[in-house]
Amino acid sequence: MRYRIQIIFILIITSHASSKQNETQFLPDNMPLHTKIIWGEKGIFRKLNISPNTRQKELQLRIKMLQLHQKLAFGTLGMFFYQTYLGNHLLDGNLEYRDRHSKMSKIVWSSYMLSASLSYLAPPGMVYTKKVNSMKIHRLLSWVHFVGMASLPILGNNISNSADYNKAVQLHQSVAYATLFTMSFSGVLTIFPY
Amino acid sequence: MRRVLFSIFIINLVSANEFVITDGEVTYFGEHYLHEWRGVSTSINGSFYLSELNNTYHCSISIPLNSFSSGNSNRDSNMLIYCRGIDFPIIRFTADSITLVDNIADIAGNLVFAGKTNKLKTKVNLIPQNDSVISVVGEFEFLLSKFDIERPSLMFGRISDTILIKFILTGSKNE
Repeated sequence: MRYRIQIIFILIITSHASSKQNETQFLPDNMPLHTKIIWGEKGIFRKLNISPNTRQKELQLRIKMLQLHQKLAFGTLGMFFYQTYLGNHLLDGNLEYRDRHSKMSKIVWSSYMLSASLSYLAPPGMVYTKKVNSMKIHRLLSWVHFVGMASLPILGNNISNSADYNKAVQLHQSVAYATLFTMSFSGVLTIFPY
Repeated sequence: MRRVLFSIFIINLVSANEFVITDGEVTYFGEHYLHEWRGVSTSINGSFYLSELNNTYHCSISIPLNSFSSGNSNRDSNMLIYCRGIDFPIIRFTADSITLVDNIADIAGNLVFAGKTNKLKTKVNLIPQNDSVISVVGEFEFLLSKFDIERPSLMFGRISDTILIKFILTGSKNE
């Protein structure tokens, strides 16, 4: 009886080890740092045991996440342009746009963060090289517009609380424009062939 | 007359000799409504054998899928995922019929790609370089859907189903 339990225990251990090896044996070199932290051999998702069983399933998940990221980001960009239009109307003194600008800010922000999460949390691809290409710049720019988008609600709230109204508005507007520009350029980069 | 002499030269060169692929380049061309791109591999393994004397032919080529580079690692990564590169890392072609007329060979065979096998027919030009080296140049098209490959989409449009392949292979006599 004791012998049988030992065999079952060894089988469980070896099957778990082989499943882990299956997950990680096709991991690429040079993956981005945040992907390594989440999906590396000792990544958070593997420690939490919430990663798919096989690398193939991981890659299928990646495709789904990035396809959704693409569509959501495209929609978010459209809404962000509209939000900028509303913001400019507000600055021109059309205060009837205030509520809509406020409501839209929540929608745009949530949509952006969901889209960004789908990209940042996606499992690693098959190949990463050190060579600069359009998608690498796309990823680098994402950190710029991510910081911009994360700070926009804070800067928006700051307008009503700030002692210097004009300076607060100008800062909010500049960050919004920089975020919109980097996000748009990031989007354009996805259609570049190289 | 020159044509006849050239044919004799080609036949003499390839008769009962095995050529091992020592050099070459295979390029695929993809298309999307927003852009076009190409991926190149120079990691080609294989050989071809052609004997006019006893009418036996053989041609076998294999290329690792991950050896194709398009200059954009993100795209190469996606290509490997969509073409099921983990489960089927090698593209293989094996000829089952070769007909040689002048310096043109009609080749028919099986292309094994992404775990599926399909018949392939193509014409290739044989260009002798010297007594023991010959180059093979050709191109063909295939449909991704024939290999059950899901086509990736960008900006709400999928890539074209048709992929053009161009190749140049150089074989040296295996003596």
